[in-house]
Amino acid sequence: MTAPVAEKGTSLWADAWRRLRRNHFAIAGTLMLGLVILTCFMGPWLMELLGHDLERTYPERANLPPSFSDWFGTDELGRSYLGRVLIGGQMSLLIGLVATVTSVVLGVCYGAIAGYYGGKLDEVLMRLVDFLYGIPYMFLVILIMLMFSDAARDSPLPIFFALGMVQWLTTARIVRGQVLTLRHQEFVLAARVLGAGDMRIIFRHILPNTLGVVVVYATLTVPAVILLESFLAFLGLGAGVTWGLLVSEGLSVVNPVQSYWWRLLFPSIFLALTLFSLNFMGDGLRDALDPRTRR
Amino acid sequence: MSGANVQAGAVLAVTHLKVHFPTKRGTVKAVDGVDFALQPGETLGLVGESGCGKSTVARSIVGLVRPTSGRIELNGQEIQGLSADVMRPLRAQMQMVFQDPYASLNPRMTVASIIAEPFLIHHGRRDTDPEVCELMRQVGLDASMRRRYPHEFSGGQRQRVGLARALALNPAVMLLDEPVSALDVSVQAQVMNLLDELKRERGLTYLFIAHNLAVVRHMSDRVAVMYLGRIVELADRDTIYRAPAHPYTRALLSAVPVPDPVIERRRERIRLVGELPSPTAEIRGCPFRTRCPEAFERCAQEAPALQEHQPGQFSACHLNEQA
Repeated sequence: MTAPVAEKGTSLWADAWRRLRRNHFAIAGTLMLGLVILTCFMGPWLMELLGHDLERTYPERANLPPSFSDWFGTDELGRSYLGRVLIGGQMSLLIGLVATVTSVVLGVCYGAIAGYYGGKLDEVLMRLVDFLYGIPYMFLVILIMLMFSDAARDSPLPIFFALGMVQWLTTARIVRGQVLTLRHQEFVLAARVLGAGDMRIIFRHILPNTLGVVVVYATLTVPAVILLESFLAFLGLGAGVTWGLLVSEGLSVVNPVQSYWWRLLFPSIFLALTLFSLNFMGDGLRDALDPRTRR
Repeated sequence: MSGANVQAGAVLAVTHLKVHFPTKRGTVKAVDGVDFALQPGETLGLVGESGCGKSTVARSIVGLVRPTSGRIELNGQEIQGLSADVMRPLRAQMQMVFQDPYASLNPRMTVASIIAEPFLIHHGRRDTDPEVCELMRQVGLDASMRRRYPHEFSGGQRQRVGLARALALNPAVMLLDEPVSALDVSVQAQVMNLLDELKRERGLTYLFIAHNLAVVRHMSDRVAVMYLGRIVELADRDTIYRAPAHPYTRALLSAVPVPDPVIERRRERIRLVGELPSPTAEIRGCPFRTRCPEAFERCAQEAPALQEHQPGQFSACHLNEQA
C-alpha cells in the first residue's frame, strides 16, 4: 500500500495570518511594536558603543532641553534622557511580557481544570476567583509586594509576580467559559468514545481550540499590565526605572515654576505608541482568528 | 417480555436500560426501560421524534452517559459502569458516528491526525500513514487530501472522515446517531450507500438512529420506534411499514410524504393533536395517551407493556393485547 503524496492544507492559523495581513492597522501596530522593542533593547547598547556612559551623572548639565547632542534632553542629574527612556522601556516591556505569560499559564491551567471537571470542583475554584476579584486589585498588589523581603523588593520579581497574580483571574474565567462549551462538542465526545484519556482530551482537543481567544486576550493584557505598573510607579511601588516612573517624575517637573516638558513628553510618547500598537494588534488578531469573519 | 427479543448470540444487548437525569424541576426520564438486542450483521433502526431518548440510548451504550439502571452487554460481557481503563480495549469493538459533521471533527487537527488518533490511543502507533490512506479510500475520500483541515471539506466529506475514524479500530458494532440528518438530500443518499457498502464488506452491525422513517426503511432489517424514553413498537422492517401496530407508528408513517402528488393529495393523514407532556412530568398510564387518537379509559390507568402480539412484532398498546 503506497501512500499518495499529500497536498498541504491551509490550517486555521494560515487562514488567520492571511486575514491579518490584510488588516493594515494590525500590521502597522505590529511593525511599530517591533520598532519600539528593537529601539529599547538595541538603543542603549548602541549609545554605550558610541561612548555615552548612560549611568554616569553630569551635575553641570542637569535639565537641559533637547539638543543635537542630547536628543531627548537630560534629567536632573545630567544623564541623557534618551538613554533613560530606552532603559525604562526595557523594564516596562519586560513586565508586560512576563506578567502576561504568568497570567496566561496560570489562568489557562486553572480555567481548564475548572471547566473540564466541572461540578463541585468548578464551584469551589470559581468562587475563589470571585473572591479574589472582589478584593481591590491595588490592595492585592500591595499585599503581595509586602510579602517579599526588602532585598527582593529592589528586583523586578515581586512586581512580575504581583501583576501576574492579579491578571490571571480574567484569563481563568475566559478559558473556563470556553472549555465549558467545548467539552460538550461532538469532537470531544468522539475522542472519549475512542477511549482518549482526560489529559489527551484537554491538551489535544480542548486547549488548542481556546488558543485563539487566549492569544487575543494576552495581547490586550500586555498594555493593561504596563499601564498598571505605571499606576504603581505613581504610588512609588514601581519596579525601578520604567516608563511609568519616568512619566510620573516628568509630571512633577512640569508646573508653573519650572517646565522640563521633555521629561514628560518622551516617555509618554513611547508608552502611548506601545499601547496603541498592542491594542491594534489585539483587535486585528481577534478579527483574524474569528472564523465567522472568513473572507 | 424480552424472551424472543433478547436472544443468545447477540453482539449488543440492552436490557431494562434507564437513564434518568435529575434536574432542579424534577427528574427527566430520558430513557425509561428500553430493551433490544442486535444480532451480528443486523441493522436495527431506532426512530422517534427529537427528545424521545434515542440519542441518549446510544450515548449510554458507549459510556458517555451513565445509565441509571439496566444492563448493556457487548458480546455477552456487561459493560455498563466499567472504569475507563477496563473499557478502553472494549471500545475498539464498538464505535459511534455523530450527527453534526461540523462539530464532530476537531478544527485544529488535520484529517490525517483525526483518522490516526484511534491507532495512537489504542496501539500507541504513530506511523499510520498507509492505514489512514486505506481508510480514506474505503470511505471514498481522496487520500491526497489528508493533510487538510476539516473546514476545507464539505458536510458529506466530513461525515466520511468521521466514518473513517470510527472504522479505524475495525469495530463489530457501529452506533450511527443520525448520520445523515445534517446533510443535503443528495449527499444523504451517497452516505447511505457508503454505509450499506461498508456493512456488506466488513460484516458490520448497525444501530441506526434517525427521526425520519424513510431513511431508516432503506437501511434497516428491524425497526424500533421510541416515544418518551420507551420503545413502543419493534418489528422487522416490512411488517412495521406494511402493518404498523401502534397508533404512534401509524401517525409517524402517515407523516412521510409520498412522492406522487395525486396519491399525496388523496391520502389521509393522521394528525397528532395535543402536546408532548413536560419532560419532568410524572406519567400515569400510557405515555402516548395525551396525543393518541384511539385512547380509552384503560390507557389512563395502566401503562401497556411491550408485548409480542404477533410473531416478531412487539408493541406497547392496550389495543393489541389479547384478552
